Amino acid sequence: MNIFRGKDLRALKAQIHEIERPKKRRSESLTLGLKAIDSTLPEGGIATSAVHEVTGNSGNGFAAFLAGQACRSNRPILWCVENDSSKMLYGPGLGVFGVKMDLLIIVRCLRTDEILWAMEEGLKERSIGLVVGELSKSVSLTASRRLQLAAESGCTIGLILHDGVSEEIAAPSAVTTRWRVDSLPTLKSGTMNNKTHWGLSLCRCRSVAEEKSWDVEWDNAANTLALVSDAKCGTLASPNQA
Amino acid sequence: MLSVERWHRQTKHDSKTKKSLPAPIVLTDYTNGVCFVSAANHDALACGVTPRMSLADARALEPNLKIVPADSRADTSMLEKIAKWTTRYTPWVAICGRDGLWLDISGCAHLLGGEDAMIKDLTVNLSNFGFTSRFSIADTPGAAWAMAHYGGEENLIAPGAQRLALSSLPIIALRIGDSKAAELIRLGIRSIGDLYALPRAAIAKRFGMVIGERLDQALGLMPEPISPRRPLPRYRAECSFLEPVSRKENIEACLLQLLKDICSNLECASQGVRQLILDLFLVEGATKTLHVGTVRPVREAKCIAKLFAEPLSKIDSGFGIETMILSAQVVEPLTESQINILVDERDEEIIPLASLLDRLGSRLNFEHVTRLVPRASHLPDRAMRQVSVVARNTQGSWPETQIRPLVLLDQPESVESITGVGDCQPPEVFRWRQNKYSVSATEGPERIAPEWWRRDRAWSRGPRDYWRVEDEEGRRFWLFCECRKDGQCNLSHWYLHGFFA
Repeated sequence: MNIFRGKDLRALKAQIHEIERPKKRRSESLTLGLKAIDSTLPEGGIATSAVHEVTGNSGNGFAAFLAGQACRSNRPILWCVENDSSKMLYGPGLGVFGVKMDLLIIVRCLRTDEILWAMEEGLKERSIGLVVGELSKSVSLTASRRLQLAAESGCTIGLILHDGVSEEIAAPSAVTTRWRVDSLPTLKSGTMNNKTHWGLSLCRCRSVAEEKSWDVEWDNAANTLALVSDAKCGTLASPNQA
Repeated sequence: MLSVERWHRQTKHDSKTKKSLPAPIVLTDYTNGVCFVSAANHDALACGVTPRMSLADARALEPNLKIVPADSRADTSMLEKIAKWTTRYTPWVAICGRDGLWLDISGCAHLLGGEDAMIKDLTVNLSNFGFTSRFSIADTPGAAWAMAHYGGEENLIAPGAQRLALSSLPIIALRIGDSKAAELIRLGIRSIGDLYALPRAAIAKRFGMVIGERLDQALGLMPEPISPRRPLPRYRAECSFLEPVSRKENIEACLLQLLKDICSNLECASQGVRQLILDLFLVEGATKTLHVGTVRPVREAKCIAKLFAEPLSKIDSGFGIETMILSAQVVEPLTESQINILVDERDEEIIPLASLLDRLGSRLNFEHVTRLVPRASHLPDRAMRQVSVVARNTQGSWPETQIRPLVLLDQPESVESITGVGDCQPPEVFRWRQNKYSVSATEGPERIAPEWWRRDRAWSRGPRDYWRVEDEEGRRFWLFCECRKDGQCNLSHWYLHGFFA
């Protein structure tokens, strides 16, 4: 049976995959710009033709960051929110993350099923780069499967955003990856240092067995994301190298 | 009469067992504390009861009157429904008073076999719904109104024959109001014909211009503009069925055919449609209306049919649809575009996006599909507005500002500062919506002054000092306090205006 090991097995798997999903899956991805994270993910970034889920109290910040990354491809971004007149996504705040406002379309929906419908319509559209849906409740298996299939047919990225939900979501779902983004206090005490500090954890990913976490920092002035340990090590290591 | 019959229809729906017995019925309403008759049925009218008579008088004439309270709102909506239903005869329909309709049938009558046949058809259909109706056709609205209300059996005035036809009608048929009519009658002017011979100047001096105007309008010497319920569509397609249609596939196929008709007309005129209305006339007399809008002018029948799919699926066609009328309400120029063999990538991307926006907008309302557009203001709550994707000129440049929150509260919320460090610093511990937050890091202040050239109630209390504040768990808030006249901060009141990522 050894002949099926290695290369042959992989080829067989690919063949089966082809039969299961007749549409060719583009192995493109949206890179985060951090090698440590991107290399962990099987597609080398946030995979296209897939739906991802983000929880945690800084989920919307991470979604804005991803939207900023998606803006580089110059494709429109659909952001579906519940129609809540008391608060709104603020343009200048999104701009900090590099979101181009002329690419952003905000869809205000009245009910959860309208958000899911709008997301599905958006995901099916090839010209759309990223679809974000803010949902207060977790999505059922059927709904997430529908979104996943829509994303596959349109080669788009879907992001289910449970903003402010910090507890673990245990419900089964068809999403490809699940992230938890929590805000962390800035390292330098007393001042915020113009930076946004997040604890980023990859709770679920098909080929990554255990949960992985990173401490990342978004620099509001330089518009870059950096690993906190990286930043520290870098400053420590450079004198040694020199 | 409409109100009584509307009531009859309503009660018949409520209790089908009770047969409506011939009995005098009146609907009553109150004015200035007096109960009076607002409408009466045939039996009541035969007893001598007339509308606008007080209920006590009516009771004296006929003690067995059945009295029902009037419901003017239900009457209006019923009239509205009938008006909608009559659009199958002509697109130009207007509501006249409490119980009348204007129909402009120029160029429509021959489609139904002439004016006589049209009136017959209308009367029969309305009587099937349980309504008594009187129709009259004339060159001018005034003459038609007079004939319909006071013309007796006659209901057609031949073109140009108003003068003769109206001469024998009572003076009240001119729509000049009861008091003026009564005064004219007191002077011995009983019929419209009596007015013809009188000098205009004298009448105008005594009664104002109204009488002369109304007479000229009725005779066709002066135009009488009336606005239709719905603006007249420039493009309209209609389809009537011999047998009512209720299967979804058939309705869709028919709709596609109507769309193709309209689109080919639009193509000839280099126009594209922005708004469409589909009227469905059901067998039982109800009318369903569907609205569809697009973000850019289109004339691809299949694209538009997709927009109708969602609202159509919600329609209950009941016993079937008799007639479908599609009208293009708003059209805009759309030039011919050449099919490019070497496909331009950008163009290809724009069009599917527009069709996606159409689908989103037609289901969720275009008001809810928005873009964020900058506004030239340094006040955070004014610097951005949400504009529907349909709107033009949504371009603008975002100014370079300080770091702003990701989520902004529409109304700043008051927070309770528990301990302050004083000296123009935000509170160390504050409470917002029942939760306590202890501050570990702050950044600021950023002073924002109100715009003196505008009157803004939210900013009426002077400039604000904005602080970025981080609590021990890393949540980041945008707090502000207001400055007093002397430039000192009012440190006892803090407000929350937004959240950072």
